Amino acid sequence: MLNIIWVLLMIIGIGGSIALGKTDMIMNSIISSAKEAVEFAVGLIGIVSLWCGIIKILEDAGAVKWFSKIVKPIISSLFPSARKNEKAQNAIVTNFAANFLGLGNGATPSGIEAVAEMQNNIKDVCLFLVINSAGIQLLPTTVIAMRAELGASAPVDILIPTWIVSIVSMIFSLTVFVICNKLFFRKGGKV
Amino acid sequence: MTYILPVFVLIIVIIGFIKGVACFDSFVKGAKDGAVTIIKLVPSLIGLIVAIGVFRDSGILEFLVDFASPVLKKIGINGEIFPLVLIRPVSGSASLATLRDIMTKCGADSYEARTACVMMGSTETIFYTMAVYTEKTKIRKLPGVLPAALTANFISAISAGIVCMFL
Repeated sequence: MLNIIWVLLMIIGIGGSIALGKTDMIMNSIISSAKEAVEFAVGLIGIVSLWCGIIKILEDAGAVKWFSKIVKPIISSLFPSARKNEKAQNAIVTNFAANFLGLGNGATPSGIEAVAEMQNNIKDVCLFLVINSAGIQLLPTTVIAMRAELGASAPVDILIPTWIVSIVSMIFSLTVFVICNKLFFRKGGKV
Repeated sequence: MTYILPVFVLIIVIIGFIKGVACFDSFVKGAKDGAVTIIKLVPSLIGLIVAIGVFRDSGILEFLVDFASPVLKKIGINGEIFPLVLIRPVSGSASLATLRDIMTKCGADSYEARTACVMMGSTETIFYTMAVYTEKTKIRKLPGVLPAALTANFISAISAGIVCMFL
């Protein structure tokens, strides 16, 4: 999908600028953007690495285990197909913990495993993906790093608004999901 | 607000120390993962920031935003953050590049930039998640997931706009 979007942006952008006679601006823009992209990424490394390092201490201290103690009872009631499946429960908990704490690389493998374990129950898989799509995060590190890099006066000021908005949008998406499911399964749709 | 981050760090370090974690070793290991993740992003960021820069400087983005603004305003979405609403579910790196574009254009402390940041932090790249998580299974239909995820995307754009007026 990104392949199409990228090509469209380039063709419309460059084509449009030629048509409108703005090629000098575009030339400068291409060269400076490439340089800015590298500077931008380098600027992010500091804070993102710092947070990943700090959170790794928490992980090594056993954070995923504590998290699972709190969340596990909820998980068996949310996902019937994981009730008797220890492996599925662990994968779900690890995935939620990784997303919540921002453990970058931890989320994808456990997410794949959770879906594979529950694949006989489409409803559970869908609910799992919907919860995942709300993206509730303790600290949105990348966004904070970007704000610091681009000169915000208080980079962390978006924290509480982000929590509120995450919860609000999760409530809405769960509602829509439940409604869609009622319609879908009433029609006797086969998956 | 200024004490949140230092207190987080302090608590985590104390917990690690009490639990007997080799804190500095763990820190270095984690920080390395973080650095590698960002460095791996560099090539796609270059491509996307250039493409978005070209698109913006051609004047077409402004034209589209101006065109869509009246409709967007009615449902409470700021025209400036509309590109992010479109790209957010599709690609994480493209939305980073878009967010950066909004922040450099409007200023990091502007209302638009704050709204965009809140939206970015409270949504996911759902198309990626759906594709990658189900890749190894035979599941092809996911009833209800896409409408729910796209609703989350729109609602977060609207509610970010409202919340950022007050906080």
